[in-house]
Amino acid sequence: MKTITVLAAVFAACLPSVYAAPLTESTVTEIIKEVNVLAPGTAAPSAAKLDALVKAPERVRTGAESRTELTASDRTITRIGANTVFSFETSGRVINLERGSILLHSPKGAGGGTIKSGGASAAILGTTLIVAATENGGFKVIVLEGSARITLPNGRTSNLDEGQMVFVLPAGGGFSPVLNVNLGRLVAGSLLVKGFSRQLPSVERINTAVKKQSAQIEKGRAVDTGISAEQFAAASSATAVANGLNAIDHNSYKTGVHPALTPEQIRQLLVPDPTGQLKVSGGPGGLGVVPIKIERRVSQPQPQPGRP
Amino acid sequence: MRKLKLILPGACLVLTICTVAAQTPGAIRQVESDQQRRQLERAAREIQPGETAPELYPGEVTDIGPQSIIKYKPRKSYVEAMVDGQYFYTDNMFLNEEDKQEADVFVGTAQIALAPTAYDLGPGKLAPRIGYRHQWYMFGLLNDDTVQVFDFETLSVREVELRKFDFNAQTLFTDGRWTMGNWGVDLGFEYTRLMESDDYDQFYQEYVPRWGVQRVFPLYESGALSLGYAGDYRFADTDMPPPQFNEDFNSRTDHSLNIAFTQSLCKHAVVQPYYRFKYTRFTEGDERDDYLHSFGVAVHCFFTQQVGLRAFAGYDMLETSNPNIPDYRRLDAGGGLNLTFRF
Repeated sequence: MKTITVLAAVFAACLPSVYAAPLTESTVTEIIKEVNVLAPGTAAPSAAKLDALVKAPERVRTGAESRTELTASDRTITRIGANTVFSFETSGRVINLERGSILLHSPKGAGGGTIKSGGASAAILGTTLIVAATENGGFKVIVLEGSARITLPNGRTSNLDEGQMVFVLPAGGGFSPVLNVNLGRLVAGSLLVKGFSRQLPSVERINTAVKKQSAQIEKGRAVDTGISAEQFAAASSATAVANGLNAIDHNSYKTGVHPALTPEQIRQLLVPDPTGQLKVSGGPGGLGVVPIKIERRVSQPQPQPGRP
Repeated sequence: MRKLKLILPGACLVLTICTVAAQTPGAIRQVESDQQRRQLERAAREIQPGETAPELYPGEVTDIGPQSIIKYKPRKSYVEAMVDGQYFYTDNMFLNEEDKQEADVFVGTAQIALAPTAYDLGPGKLAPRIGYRHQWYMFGLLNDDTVQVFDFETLSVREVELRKFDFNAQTLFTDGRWTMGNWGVDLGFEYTRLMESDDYDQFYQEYVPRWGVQRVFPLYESGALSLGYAGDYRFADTDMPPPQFNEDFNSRTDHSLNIAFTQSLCKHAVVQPYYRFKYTRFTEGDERDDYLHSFGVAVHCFFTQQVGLRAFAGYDMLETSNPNIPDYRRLDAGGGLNLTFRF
């Protein structure tokens, strides 16, 4: 029964990718300023045309202060920012971002998509997110609504929720931790969100995420982010309970649980009173009960009968 | 002690020779590159709330939008209540040099403190506390061993179970930790008294001002090294002092150096190997210097912000200058559960 349940879960998890239509082409639905399409094997780019189909492996290239929007048949929207080069892969639902920025919105049930750049990738399923990349390894992901799974070039994976971002600095400049970004400010100032004539289909969900985050900021909310090595290392060793018998200073401990004393050492702590009775002249210090150490004497070997 | 004095510098020398031998020019370049990468990585990690995430390329913000980093502030709390229980095996309950006595031990701790959330003080943050801690030490819960003892009150020799040595510790404490970046400075004061478990008769008390400083070195994303120094002075008051000694004969000062490496295993677990060297000088009574080496490893799991589970193993080696005090070796291994609530 357990095996069947596991298989069913695996099958269900695979369904979207098995039955999702490939994202290998989209129709140009908006053009702002300079947008070109580079067909494979041709050196000269051709200007993109409204309602034209962009197919893999064609590359789309935008100029300065330029943007374009592509809409797939399953209503997956790809918005491309300025100075960007990107292309669809010839199979699956993968977008290659060579440089620049894109916004990807994949409706629920469409099968999501993966944006790749260098060694990094961002996989989504029914989400709206923004990805930026540079040719020398810079990578940034911001989730506007829903969630996404990010794989960074060092192999680290992170699940990002709405309002969260992670980035890799160009030229191997290091990875950020998962950061919370002010979604309201970002959306208000984003041309990829606001700079097109049509609203994104997910605008309601984005607005809900903005309101949710604003409420959290107002209320003040603790986020369970687990604990990092740094945080743990910085936790005060002076205030934590130490492990084992070191939970108390070892010399204080010895006043309660004395090391054993030999009978001779015990005798030294006792003196006879004027009547000849032994009395305590002192003690071991602390608790007056102390284990007696058995003194081992080296015994002389007894001669065996019949032997010298 | 002499052996250790020889072994430690020897080990350091061998390590130094190995390190120097490995430093080919390529390796040096690699180290420099690693250092640059770490500096950049640290810069990436140290983005503070209110700051803006760096642009990957000029003009990125125009399309994406401003990326102002925010941080959800946790609710302020004022009280910290903690319950901790650890159950472990020790191979040397009496800290003897020979004839070690094995035992299973339970150490229970209940603590409550007025501990307001850290507040800004200068360029750092100060976390003050004042509170009370009670600890129970219980021996031989699953062990029926008996030991022969001499009772100085009744002047009699008898056999007792290990439970006879159960005791309680009551501690009143106040302390503060000031942190700035990866630095932390501790200052505190404690009053502790030890009592018999049966009738709560006090047999030892100490007044302890203590101080310390710690520095954390983030090595990479999931690993950090911490170095720390802790010092204290214990004004001790011990019942039944030996003849010709006063009740303050246990007064002493401790100075310890700690080094610990912390490695995240996952979001909710860390492993921490550590080494600590502790020097103790007794200032009253007999002249005496103790050198305690402790090393071990602990794995800590955090299920929630309130519940933590740990497993640990530690080994202690004490060398002392006083021939009447036994040197000892001791192994402890076990586990613990910690519940901490802040409100």
